[in-house]
Amino acid sequence: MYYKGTKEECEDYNTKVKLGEGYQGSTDSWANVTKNQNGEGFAILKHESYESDMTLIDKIPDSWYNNLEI
Amino acid sequence: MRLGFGLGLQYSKLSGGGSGFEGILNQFPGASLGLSLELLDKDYSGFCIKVRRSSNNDELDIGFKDGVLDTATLLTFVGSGNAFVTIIYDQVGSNNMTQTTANLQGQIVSNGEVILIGGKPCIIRSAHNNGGYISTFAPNDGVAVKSMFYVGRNINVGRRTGMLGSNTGGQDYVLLVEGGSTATIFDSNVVITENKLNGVSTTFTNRDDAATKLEEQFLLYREIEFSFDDNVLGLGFRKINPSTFGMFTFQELVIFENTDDAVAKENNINERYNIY
Repeated sequence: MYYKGTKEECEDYNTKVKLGEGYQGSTDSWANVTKNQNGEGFAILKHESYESDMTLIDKIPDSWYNNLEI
Repeated sequence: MRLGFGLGLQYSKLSGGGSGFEGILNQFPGASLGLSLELLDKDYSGFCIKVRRSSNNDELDIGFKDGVLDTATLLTFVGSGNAFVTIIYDQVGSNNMTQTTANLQGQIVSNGEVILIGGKPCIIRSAHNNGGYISTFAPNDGVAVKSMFYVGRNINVGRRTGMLGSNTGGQDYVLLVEGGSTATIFDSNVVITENKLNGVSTTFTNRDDAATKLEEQFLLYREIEFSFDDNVLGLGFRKINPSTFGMFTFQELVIFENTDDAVAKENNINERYNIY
């Protein structure tokens, strides 16, 4: 599950999890904030222990990614 | 668990990397990257990995004991929980593989037990598909052809898996595989002149074929020339935006700046892992 919101909302959520979990040493974040490459919006993976007011989605749609020939 | 079994002759006299031990990096010159859960160099005195435990997210450097990962110290630190690898230390120089994002870190302990393949510790891909590691190792260094030796496994054939990539380069990759995929492009921005799986020259017909052939623990030897757009090396696909390509299960990656004594190096590795 992912939270979908603004960049700031996703980054704030990342910080919330980081502080709540007490990451230290070489770990400095919970998850990457993903940008919709083809539209508006950002998303971040939900941590099972932390809630947010952002919209919850099952997965990041494929349409968010650029078509990369790999 | 079968920890401690299957150790090769090189370790038979070993006590903490002491007299009698000759690692692959001592026996064969010219290595530029040495990542392993085993000791590769008798003169290396650093750590093997840094781990983060799930109970409170504390981290600890774990070294070697009798030439292999010190699993006793690891399990004492982790307890009954899980452990995730934040750094794989380079035994050649300082090009450590790091992953600073928690949910992208590979796992080495599950519910208080070291994860094993072939009876030896390994690092499995993160539960989140995009996991991997990035180093400061610059593969485009003007050496025409390097040799690389990778010990690992493709633990879930149906998932997209990449062996090596860079940080930002979407066309920088080495050996992308995926069960069910008929794509025939495995490598990009590299030239592969030799591809040996478990000691035998091998051709992969498509990504599905490669995914299947790499399903069990393997030793892959490749002669490789890099021309990455982003001149850094990582485990897994592009780190900054991985496109759901996770990393192969990891036990060892050694890169030499030459292709000398390739069979002898393969034999050295296989004697330790007993793969084929």
